[in-house]
Amino acid sequence: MKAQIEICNLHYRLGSHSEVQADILRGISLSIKKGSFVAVVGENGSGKTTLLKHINGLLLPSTGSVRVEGIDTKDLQHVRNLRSKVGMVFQDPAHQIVASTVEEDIAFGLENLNLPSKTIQSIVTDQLISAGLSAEASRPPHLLSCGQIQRLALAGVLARQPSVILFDEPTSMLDPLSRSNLLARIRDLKQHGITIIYVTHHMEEAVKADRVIVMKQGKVFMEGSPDEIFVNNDKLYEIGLEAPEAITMARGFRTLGWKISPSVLTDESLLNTLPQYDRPCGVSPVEPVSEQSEKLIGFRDVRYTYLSGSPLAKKALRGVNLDINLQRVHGIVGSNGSGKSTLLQHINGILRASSGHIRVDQFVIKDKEPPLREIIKQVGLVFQNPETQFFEVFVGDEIAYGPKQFDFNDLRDRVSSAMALVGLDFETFKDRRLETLSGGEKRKVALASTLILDQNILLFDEPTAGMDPRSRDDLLTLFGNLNDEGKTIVIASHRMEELAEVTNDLSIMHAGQVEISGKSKNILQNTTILRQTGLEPPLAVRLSRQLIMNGWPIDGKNTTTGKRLIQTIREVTR
Amino acid sequence: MSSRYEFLGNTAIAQYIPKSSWFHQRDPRARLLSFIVIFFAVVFTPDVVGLSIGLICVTIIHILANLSIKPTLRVIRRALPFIIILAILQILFSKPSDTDSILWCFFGFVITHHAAMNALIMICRFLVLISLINALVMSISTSQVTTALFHLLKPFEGIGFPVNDFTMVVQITLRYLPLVAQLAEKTAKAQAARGGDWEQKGFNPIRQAKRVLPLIVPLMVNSLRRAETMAIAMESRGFNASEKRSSFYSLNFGWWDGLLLILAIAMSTFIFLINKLI
Repeated sequence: MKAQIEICNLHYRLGSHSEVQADILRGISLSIKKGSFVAVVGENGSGKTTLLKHINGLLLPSTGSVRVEGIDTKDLQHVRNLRSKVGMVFQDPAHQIVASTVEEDIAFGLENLNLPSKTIQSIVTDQLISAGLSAEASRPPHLLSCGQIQRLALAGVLARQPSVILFDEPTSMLDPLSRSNLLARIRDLKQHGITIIYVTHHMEEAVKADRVIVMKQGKVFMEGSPDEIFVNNDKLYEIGLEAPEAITMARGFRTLGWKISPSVLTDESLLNTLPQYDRPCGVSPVEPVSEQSEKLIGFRDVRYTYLSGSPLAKKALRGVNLDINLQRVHGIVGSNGSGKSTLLQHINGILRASSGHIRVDQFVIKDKEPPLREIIKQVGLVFQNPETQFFEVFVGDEIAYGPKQFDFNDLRDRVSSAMALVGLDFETFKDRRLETLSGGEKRKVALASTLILDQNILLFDEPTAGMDPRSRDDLLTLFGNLNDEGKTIVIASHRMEELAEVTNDLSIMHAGQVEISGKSKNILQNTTILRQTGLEPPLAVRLSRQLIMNGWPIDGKNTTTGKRLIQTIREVTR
Repeated sequence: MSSRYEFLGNTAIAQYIPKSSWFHQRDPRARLLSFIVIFFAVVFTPDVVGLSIGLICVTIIHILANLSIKPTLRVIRRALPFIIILAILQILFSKPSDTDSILWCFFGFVITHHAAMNALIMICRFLVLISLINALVMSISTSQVTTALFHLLKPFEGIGFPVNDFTMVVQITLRYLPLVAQLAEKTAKAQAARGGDWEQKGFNPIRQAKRVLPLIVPLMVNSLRRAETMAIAMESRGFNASEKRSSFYSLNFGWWDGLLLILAIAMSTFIFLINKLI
């Protein structure tokens, strides 16, 4: 069968006439068959998005060629035809929304095809129904939730009936439910013969593809079926990637002597291969001594409405009750739009509640008092995608912004130690322009910019979104270190595996309220409430539940992470 | 309370809420043209009687479109201090003629009856215009504006007017304003969260300027970056300014639309010529 996409010795460099710039893509050759599902993985800056943009002709090769169904992307006469064949869903789907209402945005691509109004209206209606956005048809897109924007972006692409769809990390902003819905939709598209090229940092998504391409520094580092790629996972770790958690867990189980087939790649297949317990008795797990801790942050019936009094008013918090204890790592988990970010912004006083009572350390936070600057000395907040909010030119100035506002005089020492804390060398980076940094380095600068104020309470909003596995591991280690220094850390996220690893306590938010709070190990076991709120328990929890059903005498509360689960089973079987 | 960082709430654009009122059902061209003719009549009417009729028109639009008066009053409240400052300046610095009756003299300033009347008319004119514009943004969506413009300007395509480009520029601009407001909100919050001076109380223009200046550069840079991304997104979705495009909306100008337009033209003429009639 002839390939649908043929990429031949593709090189790409910014400003194709410059000899100084290094190539971003360096000799990529690939051929992709029609109807296949190809995942592209690689660390930040490896050239994944650049490769994607070559397939629909948004970027043109410096040398080499890219052909889609026989059309050379350099052939400008066929650009319209090429764009009809190849659709693209961007990393931040909000960036590809062009029109002022949902239905008009779906129509945008069809208007470009110069179709009659009646045809456009009929296709738009179909797409609204299949994307589940009929009720939102007349709403402005910037008021939709992340999941809805993602569906809108995909609907806009599908309306043009492309034969290839390019996805650039489409799930990095999505909660587990929206993520699994999107993946199901993608599988459905593949069934209908659409070729999918899917860039991701999540190996558990890549494992579902027919073929995986691993990129490193602008080259194809490895290529093959998911089992070929992920079985050889030592090589993956060398370049900052890791195997899907199911494969890592399967390896762990094999060290216990369990016979797990090498073909087990996904969560579902691993859950189905767990053995029955066949010994007469096991060691009862020991419940650790419960820690008593002082309450540091308290919310009582806190309510907040965005754009209050305007036609666009939206209730974000609907009576939040929450306690966060001193020197703990507290996770706030919830689906997109559940109110996590709004809650964090109430802890550092940037938003003030419409009603209710908030206490943060010694402050009772009211409408006007205390002043924000007083709270900020105690509470630091790292926003979601903080690197998009830089406002200085050089790394050193960006990090020093906070201390300058408070007239600290030991600026240089502070900047230097904050950079060391996140793993950036002071001399190498202080005078670098921010736009020359890689994605991972930018995130580190953003973290250093907050950590420099050395506050006792640190808030992080979706801190690992869009990070490659190695950077993610570094950040989780940093959280542990900061907590060891006595800092109280609050993390809002929907990445259950990460929260299971780093948090002591967990609160689940849903529709502007805290549904339940408690020790992480207890909350993560509550699969009913997790699923009710659109979340998915971590794999380790699902495995331990299956093992308990298989007769294993383990306590699910102590097995919420992979490492703890393996350790517990080892003790039971000893 | 409303947060000081909710810049989106301060933009009039994107306040449109779809309704099924008689006014909302009219052809966007009729609605847009009606607003335009009343707008110009209010701008050019020379006296208070004309403005009073303008106010009646605005009230009728609010009733026909089933609009709440609260958002309009809120916008007026925000704009009022600036309008009053303008009026005071007008009173203080208008040049009295020999025939003007003097109301008050102090510190070399002469306040005449004529200047006071002009200032009053200016305040009324601004208030009517603000109410009218607010009624416009609440009763006609940005996309209906662009569609109406596209169809109204279509005849000028024959003489080389780039209708396609022009309406796309309007659409992108209107789509962009809320995005810029959101960007400003994010950057201001990021600065405030790191000790940036965003919560100074009282009216201190120098401090306010010092507060806003650091916001301008990142806002410009981020807006340009966002514009570039949007251009790429448009391109990837098949937009090409040199090729013909169609429209999602098929417009149908009916009798009721014609009636609305005739009424608007009649009222505008009345507003404009009232002082000559009485």
